[in-house]
Amino acid sequence: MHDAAKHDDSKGQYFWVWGALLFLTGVEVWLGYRQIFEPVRMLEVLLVLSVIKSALIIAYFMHLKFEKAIMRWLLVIAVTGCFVIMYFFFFPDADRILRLGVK
Amino acid sequence: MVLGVFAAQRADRTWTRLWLLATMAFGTAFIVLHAMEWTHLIHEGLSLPAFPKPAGQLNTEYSKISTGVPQFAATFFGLTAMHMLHVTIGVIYLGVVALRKWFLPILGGLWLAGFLLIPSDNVFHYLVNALLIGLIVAAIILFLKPKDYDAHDVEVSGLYWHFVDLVWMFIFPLVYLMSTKI
Repeated sequence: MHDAAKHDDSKGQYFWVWGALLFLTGVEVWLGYRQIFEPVRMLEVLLVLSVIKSALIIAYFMHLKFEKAIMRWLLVIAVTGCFVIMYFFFFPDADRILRLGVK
Repeated sequence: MVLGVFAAQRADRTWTRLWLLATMAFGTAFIVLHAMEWTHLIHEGLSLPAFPKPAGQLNTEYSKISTGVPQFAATFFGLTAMHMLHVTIGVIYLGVVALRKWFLPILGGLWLAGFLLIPSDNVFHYLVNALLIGLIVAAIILFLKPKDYDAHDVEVSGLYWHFVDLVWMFIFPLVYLMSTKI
């Protein structure tokens, strides 16, 4: 467990992160209800926004920003490995949906 | 949850408990709203073969999808069920950390109320038994390994809660906001 004395104890920082999460969620909902983009682009945009929100939660709420560097590297390497595996095994089949008449 | 962890770190037991109870209230509200959404969808015709059939089902688009494209209902209910289960486990976890043995009768009362008040043609009449399993597991832990939960325990329970929230960050846009039609 990280040393509580080392990290920033500012409550204000957490409220800013919460505000940013709320704003990003609002953007996602707006994009979803307005159907601004076609499905593949919408998927990409929503995934990017979700990754940004996840990074904020992991870094601040789960305190990874204030942990030792090895903990951050472990997460980055594990998640990158997951995406590499998904790219080779999942995405070729997932691309089928583009030929199924999705509007 | 963050404010509860802060309170635990400054050894403020009262506010730790209050903030954890507030987090549990929001988690419970999420579960109840999600259960209502499930009930509404099942009544509209979107269902799985294992679910009890509500009376007077119409020949709706959802019922056609349930029979013609069974993967849709299976994926939706499977994904959201797993998330809802983990939120339920999280609420029970927070309840154990916040209230310890006092939480057991509350959990028992909630299970009993759910079992008696939810009609038997609703899938949650059966799924509420997850609370009974949680009650048994929590009782085993609280009686076999009694502990005065400190700031570290609150922080670890916070990590679990944020993980559940993290999963929702992906499920909500991909399931509810994509709204892709074929």
